Amino acid sequence: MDSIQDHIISSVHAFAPEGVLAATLLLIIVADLLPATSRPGVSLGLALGGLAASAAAVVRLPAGETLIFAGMLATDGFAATFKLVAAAVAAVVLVVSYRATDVDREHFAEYCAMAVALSMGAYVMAAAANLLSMFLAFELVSMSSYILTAHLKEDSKSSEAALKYVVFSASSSAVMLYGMSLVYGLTGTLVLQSIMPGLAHSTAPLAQSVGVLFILAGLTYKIAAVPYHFWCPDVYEGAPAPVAAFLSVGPKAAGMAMLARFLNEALFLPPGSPIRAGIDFGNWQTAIVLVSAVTMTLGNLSALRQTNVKRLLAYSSIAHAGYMLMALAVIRPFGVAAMTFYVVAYAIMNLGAFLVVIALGKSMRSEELDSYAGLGARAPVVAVLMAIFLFSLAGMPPTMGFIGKLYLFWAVLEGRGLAWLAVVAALNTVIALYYYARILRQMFFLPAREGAAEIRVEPIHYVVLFLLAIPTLVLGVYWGPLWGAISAAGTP
Amino acid sequence: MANILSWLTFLPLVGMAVILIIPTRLWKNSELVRYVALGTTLGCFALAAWLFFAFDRSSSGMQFVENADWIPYFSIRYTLGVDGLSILMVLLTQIIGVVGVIASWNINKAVKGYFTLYLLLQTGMTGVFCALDFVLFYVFWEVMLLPMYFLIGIWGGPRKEYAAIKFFLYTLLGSVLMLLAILALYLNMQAPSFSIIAMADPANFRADGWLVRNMPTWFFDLTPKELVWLAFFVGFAIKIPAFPFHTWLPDAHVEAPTAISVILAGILLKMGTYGILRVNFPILPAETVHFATFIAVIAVINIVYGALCAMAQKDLKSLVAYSSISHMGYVMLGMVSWHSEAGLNGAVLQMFNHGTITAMLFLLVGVVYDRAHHRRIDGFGGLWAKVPVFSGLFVVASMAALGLPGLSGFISELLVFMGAFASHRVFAVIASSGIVLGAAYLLWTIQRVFMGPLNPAYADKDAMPEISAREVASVVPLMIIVVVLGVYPAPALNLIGPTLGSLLQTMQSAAGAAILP
Repeated sequence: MDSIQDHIISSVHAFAPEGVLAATLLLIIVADLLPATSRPGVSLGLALGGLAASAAAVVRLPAGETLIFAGMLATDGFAATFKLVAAAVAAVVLVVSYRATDVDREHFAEYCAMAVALSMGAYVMAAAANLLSMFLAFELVSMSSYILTAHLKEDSKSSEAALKYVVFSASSSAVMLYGMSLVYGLTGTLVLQSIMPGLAHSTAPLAQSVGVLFILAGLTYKIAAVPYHFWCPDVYEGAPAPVAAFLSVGPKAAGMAMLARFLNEALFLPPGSPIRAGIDFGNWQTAIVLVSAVTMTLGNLSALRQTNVKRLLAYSSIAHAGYMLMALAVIRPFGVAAMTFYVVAYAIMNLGAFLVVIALGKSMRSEELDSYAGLGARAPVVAVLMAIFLFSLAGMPPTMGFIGKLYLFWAVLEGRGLAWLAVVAALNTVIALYYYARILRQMFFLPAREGAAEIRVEPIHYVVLFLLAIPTLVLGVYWGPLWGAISAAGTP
Repeated sequence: MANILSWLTFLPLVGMAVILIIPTRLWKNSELVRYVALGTTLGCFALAAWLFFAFDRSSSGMQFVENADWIPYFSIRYTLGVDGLSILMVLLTQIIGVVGVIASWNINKAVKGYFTLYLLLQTGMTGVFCALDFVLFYVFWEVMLLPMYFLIGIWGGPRKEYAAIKFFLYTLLGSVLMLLAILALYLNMQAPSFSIIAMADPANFRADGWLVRNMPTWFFDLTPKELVWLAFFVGFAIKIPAFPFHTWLPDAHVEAPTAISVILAGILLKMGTYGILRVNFPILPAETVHFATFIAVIAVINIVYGALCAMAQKDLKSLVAYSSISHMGYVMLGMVSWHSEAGLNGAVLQMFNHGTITAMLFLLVGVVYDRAHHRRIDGFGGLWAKVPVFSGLFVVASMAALGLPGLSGFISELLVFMGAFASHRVFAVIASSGIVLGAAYLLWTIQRVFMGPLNPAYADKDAMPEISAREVASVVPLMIIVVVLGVYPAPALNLIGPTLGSLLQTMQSAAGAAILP
């Protein structure tokens, strides 16, 4: 018994980042209760401080893979990378939300607390090495997402979006949980690394397949991949714009991390492994490849006819999930690194594009595509920044999005017999350009409508926009160090 | 001069930065912006002139090479260099760059934005011709698209939005296929490298890689090398534009502002044929031989079909656009004529000559459009009496386009046909009808626009003023080049000769006995 206690106690320090976030969460709530500190600025400061401290704790953790809490969580470089992404995304979203129109300033403390909770869930998702911790983290992220979506209590669209989200999410959680129970029943273990050997001994191929498939279904829900993408456009459209920005990046990145870990540890047999199972990664590779191809194609085709910018970006984010899955289909170290690089690029450029929507929302009071007409003349700086983000999303050099896509194609071409998937993705890039160019057309080619509102952008939004645009361009020209750091972080 | 190519490539970016920091409020009429753009392109031209004189005409290899680490993880390098194939294109780019600024002088809408994008375009174009690393090449190739999209879409004609997005989508389709082909080559290299030069040496590829083993795939039994070749070819053919990928060109040309049409026809189209000569020829020579007849067929279709379409046009600008399609066919035909040096030399010279000649035609069409605000060929008539100088220039430009001896177009077309008659006799005979058709549509146009009684619409004294000094200044430099090279083509042929000689050897040895008489 002593040894287990020792192990748990010694694990605690490796849990410091999550611990810091939990403390921050409580601190924000307590501070909001005290009249002296019940101000949005205080909540924001506490949240940012907590996120920064937890990021520092992530960086300070010793490198190298260790499993903590009896194999519940893995603290490797891969998890650390995704934790840093999650912290950065939450920080950007909170800073932006502070001055956004569709965030309730009276309840800003709750908003901050939920954002911190979501980040904590994302941390655990990136590190979860056990079906149980996977599920708990998954639920933590989902719960905080519902609350954030419903943040505007008086706004019926916000509530409707949250309700849809709850229904979809609950059913997909249930499916995933059922899959986990099947796998547990067959193998007697929840630890990811033991699943494959366990399945090798089982003699129920159908139950095996259904179990794993259901777990994968839950995960594809979280990254909004086809066929579990229906919630995404409705939720993004109804949710407050900063929340939509958050949901399009934070949970998706965490979901990709969790999926990568699940595929890598539970399903992927290294070549030459003594275990010969009825199923191995090869079978699941086909599933991932198909989901990837269908997701990117359907996402892009659906985006073509959208007239609401948030919905358009929602479908674009579905397509991007498809691109990322493409690299996971070839889960060797290079594929994982390519996926991670793309997640970082996507986080920066997608937040940038959403932030433009947020920044303009204050003056335009509309997220319809045609309200962007003539923006190039009305607000040239914002329009040019939006163009940069859109070109990056479209994968045009010299932006970071291009480098990300380059590595994805590269990873796929390295995989045997997957050249067709690369061609599908390449054609998708062309489709995608068309709808990104629809925004550009509104902004630059069409004149402003009569009585179009004068655009005023908050200074803080300008600052954050530039903070996102600069890496989009700089990392598009010189990305060596970032790639070095990501590939050094290794695979899950 | 060290790093001359970097200077040449990135000087426009410096000019762009200067334009961006000029406060618009201080110079209301934007004159300063125009002068900065002119100064920048003239500076590039001066550098190019230096390059012209310093270029070693006896060497067939790369010169003025710059080579530096860029992203060391995958040996992505920053490599620039010029050889006989690219030097002419680099020079053309700088000449057209200056001419384009002069032709853009009367742009009054968002002048700052226009010249910012214009200079960015200039960087992209020069970069494409200088880059020797595939990643760098691709970046320049795509960077060029962005300003082009906006230049057509914001400053273009009535259907500008349609033309802009059509151009963008078409070209992007080609480039993404090219990107996959680039990666396919890279993944089969023995030592990781994106160098276009290193890939031209078959010894640098892994012997056990799928590219070298080259087993037929499920995809129509094509081998991987053939697929890679086709991916590159489609990417480049869209730019040329080769039939059936040509449909973006008339739209883009008709809607683009004059200077941008000039750049499109003068430089962008050349990137297609340049790419084929730079990539497909040396890296995949055997496949090029395999597909040579295929290219020749497309070339003939381009020549004849382009000319027939040109004849049917009612709009002056789309007439010139279709004539471009026809003339780029000669380049493709000459490219695959390997029995003598004439074909390849003619092709590359034709790239340069078409650049100057078509640029003149577009400039002159722009001049008449500025005055008449329409371009209908049958809406003019008898202009010679009204504007003799303009008419004279237009006729000389047309004569150059139809290949009148003494003007540069004649020399390159002659060389192309000399080569083609030896290698593809039947195709050459069919293609020669393009010359007749070319003469027909150009002379017919001259007749309808300049001869006969003056159209009463322009009888008024101020209705059609004579070509202005600025407009003459944009056309005359090109005309001088056309006349000089028509009489004495040696300066151009000397530049390209050695490089094309060694390229020809590569092709001849790949073709083996198949092509030798």
